[in-house]
Order: sequence, then C-alpha cells, then structure tokens
Amino acid sequence: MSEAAISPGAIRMRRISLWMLPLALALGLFLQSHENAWEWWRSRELFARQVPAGTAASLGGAEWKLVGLRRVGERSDGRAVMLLDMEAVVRDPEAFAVLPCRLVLEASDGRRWSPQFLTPSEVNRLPERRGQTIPTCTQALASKPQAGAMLRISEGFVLPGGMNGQVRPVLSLPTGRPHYLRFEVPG
Amino acid sequence: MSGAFAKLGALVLAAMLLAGMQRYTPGYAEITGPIPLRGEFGETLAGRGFTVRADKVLLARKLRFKAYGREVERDTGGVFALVIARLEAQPASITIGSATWRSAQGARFVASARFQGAPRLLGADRLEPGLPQRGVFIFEVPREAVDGATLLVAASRWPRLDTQVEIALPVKPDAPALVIDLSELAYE
Repeated sequence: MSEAAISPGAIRMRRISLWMLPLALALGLFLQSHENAWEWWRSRELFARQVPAGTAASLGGAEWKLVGLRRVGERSDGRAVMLLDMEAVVRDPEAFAVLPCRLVLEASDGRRWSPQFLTPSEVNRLPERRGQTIPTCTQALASKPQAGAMLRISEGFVLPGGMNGQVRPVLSLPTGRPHYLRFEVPG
Repeated sequence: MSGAFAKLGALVLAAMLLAGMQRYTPGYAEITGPIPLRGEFGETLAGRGFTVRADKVLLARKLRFKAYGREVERDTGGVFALVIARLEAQPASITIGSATWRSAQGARFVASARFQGAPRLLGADRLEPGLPQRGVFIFEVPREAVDGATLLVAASRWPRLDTQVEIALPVKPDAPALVIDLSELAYE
C-alpha cells in the first residue's frame, strides 16, 4: 500500500485544523458551561470592600452603614449575646428586594457566625428597644421599600465569650456579589 | 497479512476498551455523591463545615425524658441506639441535617423523630463556631442492625459533593438497658 502524495495546500489545512481544535474545544466548553460559570461568579463572595467606621457603602441597591455592634448580655453557659444595628438607604428598590441577605459576624481567622433568634428578654432589657420591632435584614429586603426609604435593621448573634471586639460585620447580597462589604467597628 | 491482524487486534482492543468504559464508568449520582470521611470511634473528624467525635454508644429498650413540662416514655419493638457525640461548626454556622445509622447489611436508619423536645438532642439546633455541642443522636433499629453498624453524619440528608463522616461503631446487640433516662445521661 503506497501513501498518496499530499499537496502543500492539504498539509496547510491539516495544520490549521489542528490549531483550531483547541479553540473549538474551548468554545464548546464555554457554550456549555457559561451559565454555570456565571451562576458561580454571582454566588461567590470574592471581593471584599472595607467600610471605614462611620461611613456608608453601596451594595445591592442601597447605601449601608453600621450603626453599632454591642454585647448586650451573656447566657448561663458563658456565651455572649451580641446585637448588630445597621442602616440602609434604598437607592434601587428592585435590586434591593432580591433575597436572601447574608449578614454575618466574621473573626480574623475566617470563622463566621450567622444571626440567631434572641429571646424577647434578651432584647427588651435595652431601654431603647422596648416595644419596638426592628426588622432583620431579610425582613427588610422582603418589605420591598420605595427608593429613598431609610431602614433600620437589627440582627442578634450568639458567640463564644471573649469574642467581643474581635468580630466584624460582613454583608453580602445577591445583586452585589461577587462584591461584599466588611465593616469596621467604631471604637 | 500481519497488517490485517494488527488492524483486527486494534479493533478488538478498542471494542474491549469501550465496553469496559461503558461497564465501569460511574454514574452522575456516584460522581457527585457524598465525599466520605472515615474515622475511628473517639477521634475528632473535621469535615468541610463541621467537626464530629462519637464517644459512646448505648442501647436501650425504653427511653424516658422530659419534654415541654411532662414525662414521656417511649418503647420499641427493636432497640434504641444512642450515640453520644460532640459537634462543632467550622468555619461557619451550620445545621447538621442528617444523622444515619447504617447497618452492616447496608440498611439505613435516620435519627428517630420520636424524641422532639428531648434534652441535648443533636441536630435540632444550629451549630456555631467555637461553641461545641455535646449531645445524643437517637436511632430506633432492629436488633440485627446493631452489630457492625456505622454512624453517618452530614449537613444534608443526601449530601452532594460534600462531607459525609462515617464512624464504625463498637457495639454489640447483647444486653440493652431496660430503661435509660435522657435527663440523667452523662454527656460529658
């Protein structure tokens, strides 16, 4: 069996085809998975924006400001009860109303505490909170406020004793990701 | 002639390779299934979102506890298996959604739902970093499912690409306690 003579044009086409193959594979991969990649990009907290104490920062259709983070009590087993107060001024109601809200306390070693339900006795001992119902972050988002509305938001946390002053609030919203905010605690 | 044999051999080899791949390629559910983390009884195992250590296994015919202000007693046609364990979230708050008793024969028993309100029931409350919980998983199993059992702990009932801790339990079905009072159990 003898090899047929291959013309220089055919050899050139073969080389082009060989070089095009990785491009075609990459394109195929992109077409098949770009939705998943986009979903991954929009669900990850990749870029933290540091918010200095006393200042507001924009995220997910609102201007967010840390009002205070304080220890309000201690449970019988030594766990600290913390209360976080935030303020949000709505700029884009549609972006703001996308649930859920991730508002957590973060330690420098990366540990994160999610909000917890506090008993009324733990909250009501604060004079300025008696008789008041302050929404949580998710409740505030779900209330679908108008543009320009200023909302007060509060979340409770239960942390190991001694963590007071070592944690910072971190806020992440679906329409803000992959960016998120890390607030500096005043004082 | 030898060239024809070589081509035939290559064809047979390719067919065998394809048949083997078709036969042994794991399915999607298997590829994306739980990631097992096997460890010893008494050893602290660190999964993706939590740590767990199983310390003690007890068997009983009846369990007694106090829930919502009244005494409750539960009995069973099989046996109650209690695993005293320590759980901690790491690095973020997490709820342990699944504790399963897997028998040596492969039967799986999820933690019993008959003990709502019982003290120190693991899996009922969310775990927090730095705040370990010591408590008990309670299973209701036939006596023949006791010997050679394994405790499975995961964040969800059917974990996908997530940790499933697997701890072989040193327990024999002989002589379960007649009654155990959960309020008086030594958890520490």
